[in-house]
Amino acid sequence: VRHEFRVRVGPAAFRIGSDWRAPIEQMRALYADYPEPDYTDFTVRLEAVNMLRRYVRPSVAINGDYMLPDAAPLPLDQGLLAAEMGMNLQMALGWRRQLILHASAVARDGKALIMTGASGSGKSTLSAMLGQKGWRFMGDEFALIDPVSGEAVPYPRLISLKNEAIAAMEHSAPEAHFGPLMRGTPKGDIRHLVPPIDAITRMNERAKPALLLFPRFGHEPAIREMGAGEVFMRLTQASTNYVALGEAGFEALTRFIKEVPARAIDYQTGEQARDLVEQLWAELA
Amino acid sequence: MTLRLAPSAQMLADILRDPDAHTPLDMQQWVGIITIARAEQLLGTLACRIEGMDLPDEVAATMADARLNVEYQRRTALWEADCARRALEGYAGRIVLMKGTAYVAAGLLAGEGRHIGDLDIMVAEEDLREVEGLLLAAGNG
Repeated sequence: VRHEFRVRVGPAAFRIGSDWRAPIEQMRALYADYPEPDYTDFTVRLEAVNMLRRYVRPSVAINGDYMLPDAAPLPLDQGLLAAEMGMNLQMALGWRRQLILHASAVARDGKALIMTGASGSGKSTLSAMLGQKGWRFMGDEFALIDPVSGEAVPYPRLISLKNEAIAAMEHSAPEAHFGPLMRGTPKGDIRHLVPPIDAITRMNERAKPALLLFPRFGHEPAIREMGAGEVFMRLTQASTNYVALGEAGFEALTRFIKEVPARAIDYQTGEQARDLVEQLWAELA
Repeated sequence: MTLRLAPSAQMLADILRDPDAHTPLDMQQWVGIITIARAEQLLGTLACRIEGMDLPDEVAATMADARLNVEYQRRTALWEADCARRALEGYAGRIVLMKGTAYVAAGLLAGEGRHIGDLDIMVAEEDLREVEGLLLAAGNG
């Protein structure tokens, strides 16, 4: 690999190697305020699928410590997305220090709001939006729950905006630092957004989980209570390392469910979601 | 013939051979060793071999993760062996558990930290059809 970049996001340090300069330069610009570590937990390699594809219609294979055997390569102008997908994969398959929930998180007054749900639920956009409105952004993809303390550990990687969320954030945060707009990726249109600066400078500050929400976009505003059993089942599905952590994972998850109130919310606009969040936060957190 | 290894691979081989003999390593050397150990499915073995040694915090954290993985693989391997045992309860012949799973089941040193890919068993050749049938009936497609 010819070009290299190292970055620490919360507790995890990455080394990104690339056959091409462009994705590394994009990362350097977007991750300019993040620490550069000596030691790295994971390596991601962006490599040409073969010699020809380094130069002609360049095609990026996502390799690294952990790889998916059937991961499709991406065109070079989606190299930044390839790097981000590689970093996510290392965390999802390799991280063992905290319980990983596929969720976004924001914090206020030392307490964390965790939002989880399927792709398209809006959890990423909601966390980005709340991060602009008085909350500290902790992460839009993974919430890390420490098995010893029960605290949420920030993982404020670049915010990955998809499709309609791109224009919405460009409108509500015009001053923010955006990455290149990547059209027609396997995940639709993608544009990365650098989290607010306090999310980066305070990335070592943990917060006690105080509210768990399962947002769902596209329905009349509503709040639904959830039983502990349903929350447990959904969080085991939302975790990438619950099984690997064994008893420690079970202890961490059951404790989380016992201590953190959970609600499902439906919403159709960001405004509605924010009202529901503030209402539930005042009542329960 | 001498086998020439890449520097990281040579350092990994040296530590595995004699964990106490290694000289202090800098962070980039550790990253190189850990990367190649992972790629060669030897990180678990390395983590078990150097357990308790005085290591930089970051390296110690990676090794603790690797030992968690070792435990996870051991648990998974023994669970699969037990699934096979139940599936073959009606089989009267002898079943020989082999390789990785056998080492961890017997608590042998060779199993310590070892990467276990799948479950290997051996039965008498003339019973193959019967054993295959029982495994398939238990849902092992």
